[in-house]
Amino acid sequence: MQIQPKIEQINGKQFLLLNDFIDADMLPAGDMGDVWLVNSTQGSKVKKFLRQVLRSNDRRVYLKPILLEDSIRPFLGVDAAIIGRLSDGYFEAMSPLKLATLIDQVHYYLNRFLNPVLPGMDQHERVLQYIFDLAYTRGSAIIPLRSHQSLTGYAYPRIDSFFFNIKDAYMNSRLILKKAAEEGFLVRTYHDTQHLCSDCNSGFLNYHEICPKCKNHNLKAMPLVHHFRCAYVGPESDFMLHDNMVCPKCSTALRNLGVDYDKPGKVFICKNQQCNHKFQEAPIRVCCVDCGKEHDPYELVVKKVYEYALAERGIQRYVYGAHGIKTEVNS
Amino acid sequence: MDNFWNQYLYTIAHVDFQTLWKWAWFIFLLDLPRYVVLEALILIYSRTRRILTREKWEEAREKLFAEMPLVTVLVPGHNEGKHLSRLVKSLQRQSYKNFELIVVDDGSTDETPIIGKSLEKKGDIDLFLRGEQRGGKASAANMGLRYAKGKYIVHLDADSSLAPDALEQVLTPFYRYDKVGAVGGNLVVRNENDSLTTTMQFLEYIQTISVGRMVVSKLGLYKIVSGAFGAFPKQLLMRLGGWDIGPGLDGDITVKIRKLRYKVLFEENALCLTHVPVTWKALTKQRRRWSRSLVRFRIRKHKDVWFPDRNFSLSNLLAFFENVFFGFVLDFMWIFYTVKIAVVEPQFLWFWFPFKYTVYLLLSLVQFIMALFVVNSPQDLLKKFIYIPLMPLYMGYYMRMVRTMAYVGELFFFESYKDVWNPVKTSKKAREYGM
Repeated sequence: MQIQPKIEQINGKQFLLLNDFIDADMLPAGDMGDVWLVNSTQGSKVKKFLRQVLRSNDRRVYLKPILLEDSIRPFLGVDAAIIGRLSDGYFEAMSPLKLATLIDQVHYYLNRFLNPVLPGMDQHERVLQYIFDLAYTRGSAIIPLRSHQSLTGYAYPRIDSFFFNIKDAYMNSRLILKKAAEEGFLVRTYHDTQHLCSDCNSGFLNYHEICPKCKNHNLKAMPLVHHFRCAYVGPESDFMLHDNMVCPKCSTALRNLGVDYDKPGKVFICKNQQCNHKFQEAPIRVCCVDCGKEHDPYELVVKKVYEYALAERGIQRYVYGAHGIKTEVNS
Repeated sequence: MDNFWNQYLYTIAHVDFQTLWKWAWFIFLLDLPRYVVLEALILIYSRTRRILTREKWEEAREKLFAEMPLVTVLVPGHNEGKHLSRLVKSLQRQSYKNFELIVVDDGSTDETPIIGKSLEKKGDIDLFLRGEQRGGKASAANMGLRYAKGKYIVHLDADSSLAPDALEQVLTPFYRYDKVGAVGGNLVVRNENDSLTTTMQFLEYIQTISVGRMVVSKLGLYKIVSGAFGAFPKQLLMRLGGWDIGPGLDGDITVKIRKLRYKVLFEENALCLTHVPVTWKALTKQRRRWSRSLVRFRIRKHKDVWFPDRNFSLSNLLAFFENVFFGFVLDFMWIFYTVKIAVVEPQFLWFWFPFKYTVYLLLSLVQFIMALFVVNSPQDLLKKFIYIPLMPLYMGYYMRMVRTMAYVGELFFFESYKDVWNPVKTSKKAREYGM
C-alpha cells in the first residue's frame, strides 16, 4: 500500500503530517520532510508509532525532529506524558528559531555519515548508540519519568521502548545505563530512592497498618480525648452526642481544644470480630499490588533512581568512535 | 553529761503531775490511748479473728480460683520506664495467672516509650498506651481503665513490685465479704538500705501502714487505698468515671467509694514492695504533696462528709475526723503548746523535751514490738532496732514540720494547684471547678 505523503510548508520548513502513516501503522521514509508532525488523536497508536520510530535502524528516522500538534493534547489521556517524552514536544512550545536549530543540528549530524543506516550490533550497543545520537543532537540528558505504566513507577521512556514488556524494560534499561555509567560513558546523579517488591520489583505497593495480634488490616483509628476538668480519657466516640462533644463522666460540654480538653494520642481497634484487639502501635505490612506478595517493610528492595548525562568518554566512543562519523577515512 | 542524766532522773522522780497534766494531757489522753492501747487491742482482735476464720478465708480463696476472673493490672506512670522490667518480672511470678497488664505512659520524656513498646512486642505487657501530651496521673489511669477488660482492676505504681501471692491475696477479700469496693495492699519499703531516709521510712511504713491500716480497716475507718497497690471492681470504677485529678487521687477515689456505702478493706497479707524517696529533699516534697491533699480533699472537696445530709454516714465522718484530728488538729495543737510553754514557763522546756522524747521512745518501742508480730520477716525488722531512738525525732519533729508546712501552704495559698506534679492545664481547671 502506498501512502500519499501530506507535506505542509511552514516558515520554509517541510512538515510531514503523520496522520495517515499512524493509521496505517507504517514508517515514512527517512528523507521525507524536515519535521514530522503528529496529528493523530489516537493515543495508543501514536505511542506505538513513536516506539517504532526509535527502534528503526535508520538514523534519519530516529533522529528526525517529531512534534506534536497542539490540538491532540486532550486526546492522549494516560499516554500523554510518555508521548511527550518520545517526541520533541508540542509544536506550540517550540519557537521557530529553536526548531530551525534542531533541524540544522540533525542535518549536520547526519551529513557526517556515509550511510545513515546502522550496521548490525548487539542490543546493548544499539541502545547506547541511540541514546548518544539522540542526546547529542538534542543536547539533552536522560531523566527518569514518574509513570504508572512502568514496573517500578519510574520509566526511562525512550530506552524502555526498545523492550516489549515492562519487566524486560525495567531490567534491561537499568542494566544498560548502569554498565555505561560504570564504564564511564555516562555520568549519573541521584534522582530518587524507591522501595520495590522483593519478588517482582514492582513499585506499586500497598502499605497496611495491621493488628499486631491477628494481622488483620481492617482497623479503625480513633483519637483519644482527655477532658481536663474531670480527668476522663477515652476515644472521641465516647464524647460524641449528636454534633457536640459532651463528657461521659461529668456531662459538661467540651468547647475549646487546648483549654477544656486535648487529644493526647490515638487508639486502633481491630475490626475482626474474633479479635477486637485495641492498641496504639500498628505494625506496617506491605502488599505488592502486582504479585500480591506480603512483606515487612525491611524486606523491601531499596533501589536508587538516577539521571544520566553523556560523559566525554562516551561521546568519544559513540559519537566519534567505531560507529560514529568516519569522515577522515572516507574523505 | 553525768550532770544532765542526774538532773533528768531527778526531775522524773520529782515530777509534778499537776504541771505535767497541764501541758501534756493530750499525750495521756490522745496519743497513748490511740497508738498503744487501741492499736494493741485491735491488733490482737484482728489477728485472732483471722486465725479463727481461716476456713472462711480458705473458702474465699477457692471461690476466687474457681471463678478465675480476668484481672487488669493497671500501671500509669510518667518517666517510669526504668522500673518496668522489674515490675513485669514480679508479675510473671504471680500465683494468680489470669491477668492482663496495661501500662500507661503519661507523656514520658525519657526512654519509657521505647521500653514499653518493646515489652509490649515481647508480650510481657498486654497493652502499652501512651499519651503524647502529659495529662497527669488521673488521666493516665483513666486511659488504662477505658481499655481494661478485667473484672477487677489492680492499680500499681511502676516503681513497686509484688510478692508472688500478692494478687491472689488482694483479690480474696472480694470473695470473703459482700459489697467490697476496694482492697488496699500492704506496702513494704524495698530500698530500706539505700540511706537513713529510706530506713526511717521502712520503720514508718510498718508502723503506719502495716499496723496502722490494719487497725483502721478493722474499725471501718480505712480511707486511703494507696495508689501503689489497690484493687477495685471495674464496674464500680466505671460508675465513678475513674479517678479525679490528684494529687491524692487515691484518697479521693476511696472516699467516693465509701460514699457509695461500699466496704473498703486493708489486706495485710497482700505484700507490695515499693520504692521510696532516697533523699530528705525528695521525701519532703512527696510528703508535702500527700499532706496538701488532706486539706484539698477532706476539708474542701468532700466537705459534705462533715454535714448531716441525705448521704450522711457516721463511719465516713469518723474516718475523716480521725484523719483530720490526728493529722491536722494535733499538729497545730502541738505547736501551740510548745510556743505557749516557751512563753509562759521557759524553764519547763528543759524538762519538756527530754520527757516527751522518753514517752515517745517508749511508744515507738511498744509499736516496734507489736510490729514484730505482724510483719513477715521479724528478723529483718529486728536488724533495724538501733534506729528506734530516731523514730520520735523522725515522726515527732520532721514529719510534723513537713505536714504543718503543707497544711498552711494549702489552706492559705492553694499550693497543690501549683504543684508541677499535675500539668498546668488540668490544675487550672481543677481550681476553677473545685476538684
